[in-house]
Amino acid sequence: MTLLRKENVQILESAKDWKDAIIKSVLPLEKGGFVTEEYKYAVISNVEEYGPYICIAPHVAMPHARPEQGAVSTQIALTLFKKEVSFEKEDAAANLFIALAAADSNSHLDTLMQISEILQDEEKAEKMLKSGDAETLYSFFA
Amino acid sequence: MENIKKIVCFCGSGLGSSFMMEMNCKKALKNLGITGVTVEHTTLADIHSGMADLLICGNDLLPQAQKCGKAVGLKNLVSMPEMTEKIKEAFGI
Repeated sequence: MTLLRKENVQILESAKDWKDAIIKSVLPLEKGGFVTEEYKYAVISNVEEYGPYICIAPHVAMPHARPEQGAVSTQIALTLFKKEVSFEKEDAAANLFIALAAADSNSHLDTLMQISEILQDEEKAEKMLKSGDAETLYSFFA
Repeated sequence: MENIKKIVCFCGSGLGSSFMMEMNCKKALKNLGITGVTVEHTTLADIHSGMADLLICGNDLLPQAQKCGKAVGLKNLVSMPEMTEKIKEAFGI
């Protein structure tokens, strides 16, 4: 996947809550200058306002906000939490956080199509969620 | 068969999850042999009554969608089987 860099893939034990999980999963994008410091708070306030719409599939969340909310350039980062993160709403929980920064409405679409295809293969998705290290996790998306 | 000519998929931000739903929706329509339907994606803030014959979103946003017309909610936004099932139901096939 052209948009994913190895240094933006991480495996963490757990998060305090879903807000902490969003902050941690957006951090690689922030460090790399792909989003502003405000971006993570925009994602959190979007979820507070609209509900956990970022939970896109079983065990998978895709934290993202609008370009004008602080996305500098298009990029993704992957964070796998070994302990499931709950969104305090029925059914909404995730281990894998795919943080997305979309600088415009088009540049991330190919990547989203690829992610969608990976997640549709349930067997592969299940193995991917059990990745023990960042290298293995990256290999599913490379 | 229901007369659905325009479908709008939406999510909270209008560029991530909604686009994934749009892709799957187009794929499902194609697989079912349904033609002549426009599919678009947008943000929750932009949906309004009369903008589409069918709205598609995640289950969590379904109550808002239903205020604007016929709507279906998805549990898994990237699941093709679920999308296909919901499209079949909506079209009455």
